[in-house]
Amino acid sequence: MKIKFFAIMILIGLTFAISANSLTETTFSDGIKNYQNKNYKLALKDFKKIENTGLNDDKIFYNIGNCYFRLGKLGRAIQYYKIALKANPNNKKARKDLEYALTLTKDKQRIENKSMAEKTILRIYNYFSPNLSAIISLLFFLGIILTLNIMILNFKGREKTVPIFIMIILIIFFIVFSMISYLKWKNFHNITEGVLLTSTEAGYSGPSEDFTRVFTIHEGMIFKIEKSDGDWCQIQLNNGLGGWIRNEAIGKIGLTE
Amino acid sequence: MKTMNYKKIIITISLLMTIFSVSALSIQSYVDVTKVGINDTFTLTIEISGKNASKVDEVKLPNKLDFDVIGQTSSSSSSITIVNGKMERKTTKSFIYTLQPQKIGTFIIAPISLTFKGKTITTSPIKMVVTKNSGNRPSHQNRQQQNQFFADPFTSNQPRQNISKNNTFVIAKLNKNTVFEGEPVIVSYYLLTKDRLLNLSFGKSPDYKGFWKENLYTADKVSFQRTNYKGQIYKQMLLTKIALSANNSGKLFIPSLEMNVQVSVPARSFFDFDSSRQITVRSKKIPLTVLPLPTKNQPVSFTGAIGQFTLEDSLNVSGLKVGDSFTYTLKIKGKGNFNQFVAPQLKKMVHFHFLDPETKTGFFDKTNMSGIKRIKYLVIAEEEGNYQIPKIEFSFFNPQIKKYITLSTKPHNLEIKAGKKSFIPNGFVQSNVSSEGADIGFIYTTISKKPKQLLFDKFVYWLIYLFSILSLIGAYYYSKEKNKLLNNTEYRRIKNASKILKKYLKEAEEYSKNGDKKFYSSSQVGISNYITDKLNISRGSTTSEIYDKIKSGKFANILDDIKEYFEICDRARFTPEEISKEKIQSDEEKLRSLISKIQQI
Repeated sequence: MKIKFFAIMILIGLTFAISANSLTETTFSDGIKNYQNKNYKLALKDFKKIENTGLNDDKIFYNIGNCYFRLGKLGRAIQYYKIALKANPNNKKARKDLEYALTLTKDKQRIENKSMAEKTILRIYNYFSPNLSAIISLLFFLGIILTLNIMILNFKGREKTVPIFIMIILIIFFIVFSMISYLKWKNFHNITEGVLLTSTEAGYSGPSEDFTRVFTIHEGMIFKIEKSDGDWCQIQLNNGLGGWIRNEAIGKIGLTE
Repeated sequence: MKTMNYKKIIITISLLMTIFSVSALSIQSYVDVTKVGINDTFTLTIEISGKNASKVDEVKLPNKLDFDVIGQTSSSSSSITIVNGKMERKTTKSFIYTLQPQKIGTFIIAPISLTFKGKTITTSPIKMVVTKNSGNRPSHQNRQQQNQFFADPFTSNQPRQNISKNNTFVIAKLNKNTVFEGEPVIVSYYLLTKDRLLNLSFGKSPDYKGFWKENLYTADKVSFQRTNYKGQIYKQMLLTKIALSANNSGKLFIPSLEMNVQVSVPARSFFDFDSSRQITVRSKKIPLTVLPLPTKNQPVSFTGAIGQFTLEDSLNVSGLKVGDSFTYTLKIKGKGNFNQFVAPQLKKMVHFHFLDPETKTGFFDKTNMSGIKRIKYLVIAEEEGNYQIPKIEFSFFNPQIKKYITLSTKPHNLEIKAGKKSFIPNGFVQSNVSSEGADIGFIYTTISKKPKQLLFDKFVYWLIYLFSILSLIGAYYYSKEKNKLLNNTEYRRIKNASKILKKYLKEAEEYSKNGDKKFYSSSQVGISNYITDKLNISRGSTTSEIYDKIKSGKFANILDDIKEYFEICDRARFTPEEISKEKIQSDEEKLRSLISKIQQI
């Protein structure tokens, strides 16, 4: 009885999953068709629909960015390129297009140039996706447990140098990878950056228009988000200037909203 | 050998240098003052410099000289300068004449010429004014006294040396006095001085009204050069160099430059200190004639360029497709007022998207206004087809030949093929075309369906961690158990008792099924072994011994049942007759009830 019930449940689940998958598939191909026919608005709608199903795919963010770019919404385009890069920092297309889009902004800004060493470290760091590093750290943990088990079961009173040596190495790797996965997990959930979506926006010294104006920025400006207070957000520009701007004007660069 | 070669080379080079330098001889003459009293003396110095200067033995003074020569000396000096590893030797020979005027008036010291190795070099004439009174400088004798104030320091009551503006002044030099409207004239302001200057600063900045000014050079440090100005030796310094272009025609004045100068006044006597005086000097206004540009034959494409230019264009295209971009560059090279004319425009073409052109002006040499202006167009093709980039005309006025000249580029043909890419939409503010010809890439046509959840956020992930830790605890207890079994026989016996019992009972069951008498023996051995193991008595103990142990042990309350079963077994084992299957099975029932009782304990 129980087995039958489970089997039915699994079957129902599978059919749902398959139907959902085929749904995204058709929407996706519709989106591509619309994009090719320069119906960017429709293409954007399709891609947005897929985004809302909760996919964590840099490619879909990139496509949305391209639609916005074609529609002339530079701020949104930059936001989605940045999101694509957040989901997959190795997405070269998104990086290239972001760089290009940044040349079109009124405020001069550029992706910082990094030294060779920094680049290599970043490349290694970016090679591991959050889930991959989580799996690797889990594997190392299981390795530690396995060696411990073997030591407990078989090595009573015998030479322990080799297993201890192996375990130390495993522990080091485990610490490294769990740190990487923690950072990636934090980065995944935190929203630290934003893009200006309106054509011009004034930054004030406090969360209201009554405060003094500190700066004026233009569409496509990327900045750090420090904190949010009601309708206002405290931001910091790349040049170190800080100020408050309206929440509505900000396109947040985050994977979870 | 090698060093020999080097020596040879050096010798040849130095020889060559001497040969070339024969002609490099220069002469100049100067006086220490141009205004003298009738009773004063002054010195005329004729300076010959060059490699062979020391070979000059004498200089002839002009035949008609209105002054008496009262003394003559000559000196020579040589200096070696090494600039960028290049050695330069310079020899200077000076003939110094002390002259005294004969009468009052204005005289000219005629040019002094020198003929050396067939070449004649001449100085410029010097104007001298002889007055009745002593000139504004101490007499020759006084000056000597002043120089040697140690000789009589206490009686020195000379008037303080006159720091006149004649000793320090600013002059403006123009490269031409007549220019056309818009044509740049290069003005160089020089500071000339005979005094020791302590400080130097620009005064009020001149008002260049009516001019368009371009700064070419401004001195940032003090460096003087010796120069001969109107027959006198001064220290000269180039202060600033500017290019001025007049906005209107007519007679204009080059404004004067004001300088604040701090002049050192030497000590008068032994008890005096050097002091300084602040003076302001300014250059004279210089008239400049500005001619209007001729209106006749003025081309339509003339936008104010004056000078001499060449026009060039370049187009980088190969296999253009729709959506591709290309650059069209226009280069205007030459000399003239680069910053003052409007660059020629490329007419916007249909089916092409033009980004704002990027115009850059660079100077090859700022001091003569030669440079290049580059106008870069970034164009994106929107539709396929055959097109033509029209010719571009550029006109300028050449002031040397006083004529307008029109240059023109050739038209270019363009073939745009059909392509996948589409063009950038309008509406972007073009700030800086840094990534040339770039466009965004095409969208991805396949996606992976990664769910938007991280393993870190999943419960299952952490469950694996929990289980693995639990496995550790399990392993610990397992190993502890195993250890106990290995090291403690009593414990092992107790632990294994039921296993052994089960083995015997299984055997007994088999026998009972077949109705075999062996059922009794195996079941009895099984139970007795079980009990001995559990109570830790040796296996070989007799039944009575076992019963004694049971009495004091934990099986005390089932002793009777055990006794009863054992008796049944004994009886069955030792009767020679066969036992019926039914009997065995009924005894098996008894065994079962006994075992269930044992297991309950």
